[in-house]
Amino acid sequence: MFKKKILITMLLMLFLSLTVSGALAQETVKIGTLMPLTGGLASYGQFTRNGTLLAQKIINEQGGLLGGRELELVNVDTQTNPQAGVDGAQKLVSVNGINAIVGALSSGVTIPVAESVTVPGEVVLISPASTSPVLTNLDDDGFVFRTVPSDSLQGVVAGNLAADLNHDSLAVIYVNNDYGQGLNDAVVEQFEERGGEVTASIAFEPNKVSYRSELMEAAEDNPDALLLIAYTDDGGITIIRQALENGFFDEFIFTDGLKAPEITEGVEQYLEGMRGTAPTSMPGGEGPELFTELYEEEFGEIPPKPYIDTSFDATFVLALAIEKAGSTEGPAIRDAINEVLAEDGMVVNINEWNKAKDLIEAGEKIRYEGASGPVLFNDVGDSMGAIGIWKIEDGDIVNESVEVQ
Amino acid sequence: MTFAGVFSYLVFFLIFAGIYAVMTMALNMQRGFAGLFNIGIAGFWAVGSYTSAIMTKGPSPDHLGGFGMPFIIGLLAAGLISALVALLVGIPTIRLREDYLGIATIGIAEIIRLVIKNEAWLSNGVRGISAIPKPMAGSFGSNYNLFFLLIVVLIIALFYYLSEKGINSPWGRILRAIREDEEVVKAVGKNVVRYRMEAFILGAFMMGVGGALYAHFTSFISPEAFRPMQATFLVWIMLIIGGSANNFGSIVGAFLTWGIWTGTEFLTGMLPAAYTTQAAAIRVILIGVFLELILLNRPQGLFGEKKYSSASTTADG
Repeated sequence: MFKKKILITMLLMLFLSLTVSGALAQETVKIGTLMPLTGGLASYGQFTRNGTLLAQKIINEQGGLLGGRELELVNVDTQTNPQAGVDGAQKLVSVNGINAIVGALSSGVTIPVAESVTVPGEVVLISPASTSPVLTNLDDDGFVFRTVPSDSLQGVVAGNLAADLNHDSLAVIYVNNDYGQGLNDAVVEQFEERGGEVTASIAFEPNKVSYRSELMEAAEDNPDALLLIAYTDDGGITIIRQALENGFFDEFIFTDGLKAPEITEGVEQYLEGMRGTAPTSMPGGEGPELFTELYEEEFGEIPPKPYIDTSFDATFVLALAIEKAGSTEGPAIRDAINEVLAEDGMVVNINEWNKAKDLIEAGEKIRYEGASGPVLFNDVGDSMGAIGIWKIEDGDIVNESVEVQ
Repeated sequence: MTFAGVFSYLVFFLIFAGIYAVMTMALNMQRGFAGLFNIGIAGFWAVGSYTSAIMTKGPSPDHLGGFGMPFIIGLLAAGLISALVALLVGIPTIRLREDYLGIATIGIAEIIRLVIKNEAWLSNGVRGISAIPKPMAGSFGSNYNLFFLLIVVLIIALFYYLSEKGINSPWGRILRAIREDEEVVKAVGKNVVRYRMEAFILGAFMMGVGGALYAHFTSFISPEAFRPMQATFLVWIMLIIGGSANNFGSIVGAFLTWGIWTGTEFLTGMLPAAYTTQAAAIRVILIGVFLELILLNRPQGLFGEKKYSSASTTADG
């Protein structure tokens, strides 16, 4: 008997939530966000979500879009997992009636979402973080974009950085997933082209207790430095600690996944002056500084994590396209993205939504000086990008210079 | 939110839950009827997914393939290769009892996942296989998912019919007897190992087919999809919720559990946007609470073990 009651209550709550969310959702223009709030990338998801919320706030404060309608963001948690992510995307599309999505972060989620939900459903998807080269060649009818450059770009810069630091030999340890492998391939190719020698290139499985055997193998031929491709929460920090503890390496080069202050905690003096790479904003334009200012006004100090700015830009670009298209239909939004953005268009900053609306009404093209720099897509929907070089100074992470593609 | 939208999500939901139902029925064959403690479902799922993807895709420089076989051959091959893997795994391990078999199977699943991850010539490694063809793609327009649902339902019905048939036969009676007390069955002179092996292989065949359905539906697979949480333990939860040794219960368990898993999103979605981060965590707690509630009230699962009538099991044999 009790079982029945529970079942009925559950069904009732489900039904209720469906109807309530339906009733509230009138008159707004909806964009979906697919962010991981639980699972492996949860520590990134909450901040990238903030990036999208900031864009929403700016747009709504300046009168909304499509003639005064408010922008509403509906988030679904991907759990950093393809099964849940695909289901969430379908919810956004079917139940919430959404035709434009920002997300997902991990390529392993973004690609199945695109293939099984958004492309067949004619929904525009802009990923702020999926860097897999597979995404470039996806058969997507032009519905898939990303506001980050492909992995191979960062690998080239990291390889150059190692050579510029006068290292003659290098060991690479990379996380065994598409991100790690893509970067590793590009690093090795570039470093060897510059005349260096890669003595070892070793994949590691995430979240092991000890990486001493990988480190021992990497240190075997006494390379000058270790280039580490990892995230902070999958073993990257452990590898750094163990490399220092056992004296395997004292020179490191890092990539974007490790651009977080956690890596230096307790070992500041040993990592002082080490450098790393991370996708970043194109130089020129006030976007990044303005973004930091606006973000800190709204949410407090901005964490040095990647993809917050690209999430903002993805949301803003979608809003621009919706305004340009004058509709929320997927194909119209898709076509409008490249119609509205142009390198030689009129400059619009990230807090100038009103100006953007006026320009669109006047039929002008826009050069959007985004939070991650000017946003432009090539003909396969990839962002043209820049890679920044960062440095550890007094235990903090500071940006040093930017390499443009 | 429109009616058409809710309907299309419902269809999508049923497909996904249906694929899980295939997995749960497969596990029921192994665990429910034969008492085999298989916690390596993810491995057989992966084998099925990759086999069908490789069989049906056109040539690709990134991985083995280029066979371009029709969907149905892909499904069959997925089942057969998965069954073959089960046979090979079974030869050394099937004699192990209960938890020992469990440890062996979870190890096998990890081995399979790591092989897929590292043997790029076979599976394109960590980058996964994309653009896996969907059967009759493009011929149903926006109603395509309905057609896919039909395929899933047909396969569930087929497996349901066959496993009911099997379990009501003398073969099924021996399986259940082995589960209850192996020694007794041995004393009667039955080859216990052979029966256990057969149940293991049949279950693996079904898992392989389920895996193939998953691959064709999502069109993209990578090692990320075959982690133990979503691919093994969720199936176990479904079986336990629905009731072990009950095919109908397995199916209901799969639908209900996947419903809780995804339905809680609607509940927490009602919280104000400012609480999205907390809502995600609350959701995970809610899932746990719902499952606990069911198990506390129905320790044997919603339906419990089905009583198979003696008439149908004693008539022949």
